[in-house]
Amino acid sequence: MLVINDDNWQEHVAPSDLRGRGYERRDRASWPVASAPRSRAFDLPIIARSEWDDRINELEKNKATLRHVLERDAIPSLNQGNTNYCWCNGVVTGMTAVRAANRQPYIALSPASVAAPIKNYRNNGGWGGEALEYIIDNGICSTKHWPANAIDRDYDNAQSQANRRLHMVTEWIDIDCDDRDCFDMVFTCLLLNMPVACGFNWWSHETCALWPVRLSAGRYAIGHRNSWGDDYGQNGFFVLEGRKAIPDDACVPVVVTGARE
Amino acid sequence: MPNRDPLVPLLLAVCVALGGMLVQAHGLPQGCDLPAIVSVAPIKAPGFRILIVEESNERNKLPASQVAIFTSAALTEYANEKCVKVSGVPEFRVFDQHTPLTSESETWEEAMAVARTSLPWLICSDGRRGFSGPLPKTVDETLAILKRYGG
Repeated sequence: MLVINDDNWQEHVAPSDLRGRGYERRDRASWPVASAPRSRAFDLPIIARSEWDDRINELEKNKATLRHVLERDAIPSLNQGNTNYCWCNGVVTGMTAVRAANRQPYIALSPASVAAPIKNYRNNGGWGGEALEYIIDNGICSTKHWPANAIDRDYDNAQSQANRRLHMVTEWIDIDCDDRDCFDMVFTCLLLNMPVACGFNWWSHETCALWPVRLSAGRYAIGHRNSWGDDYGQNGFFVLEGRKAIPDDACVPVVVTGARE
Repeated sequence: MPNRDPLVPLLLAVCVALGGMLVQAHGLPQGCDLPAIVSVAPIKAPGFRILIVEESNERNKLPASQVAIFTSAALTEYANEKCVKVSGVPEFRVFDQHTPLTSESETWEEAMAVARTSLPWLICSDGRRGFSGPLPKTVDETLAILKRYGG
């Protein structure tokens, strides 16, 4: 498994790496935690570290992490191509994981059907909360109605508008990444099988945290899925460790609508 | 002479039926080992179906073994094998109690409307009989209940 940490991270932000990213540092003055209309601040009791090993063991023993679910269902990694829409792809990866955990039928969802209208059809960066707010209000199209990376107004039509209303998020949690317990908050979500879309200033990139990782005794890391296709890492899955695992922005899609195409 | 009133067996049958209806309507007290077996299926549609209803925001209150049930490989594989398929998808769902069922079938709307007295809640049905009661604490206990109805 690919592990990115404080020793090797620079290999992963090399200028030669032309893959799309697009996470933009969240302006916390304009967007304080839980200031988005549909969000709420992280309010779950943080699970004590003394419980982490037992909870990880239980999830691993039962092959019950969100990574297991996505692998078992052969759900492919998103691939944002040359778009700067990682901030939306991270959220959509989380939404897809929630649907899979609900045992809803797999529907390929289109990040561009959310990001392009938000950015007025420009290939611009953003942060996860922008995508979640839009999805709560407007929904997201399946790729049958809007190709995953299409930045094109022509796809915004009556059919796609009807389709996007089928796939919505109804609740999301905004994690305060300035809080010194940020890592533990994210870890708590993962122990409870709640995906966390995480933006990283060091990487200018957003990916989706999906499962809790124990590297060795007392040493924990966070398993993610990227949006660079299945060729990246292990079918898109990789691990962030150390300070590189602490996000600068983190949001949790909690409940999604039940829908089949 | 013993009482041979022909109405006695009939009255007994009515009492048993009323008792069963009460259990069905209100479930069994928590901690009761007896399954909430109902002769009337919680889901009317034919075919074996499983529904777990939960509150996502309160998963932290559940033991780790119960959190693992929702997405466990054993339960998923069992459901894939035993549940009736609609458009190729096994009829097994794990829904938050507040999940809007935008375009899900009426079957799941009906199942979500079944009376619950706690969360998480387990419902299984083959269209003729089934179970509706608190979700057990482990995968094995859950599978034991499901196998009574789904084989």
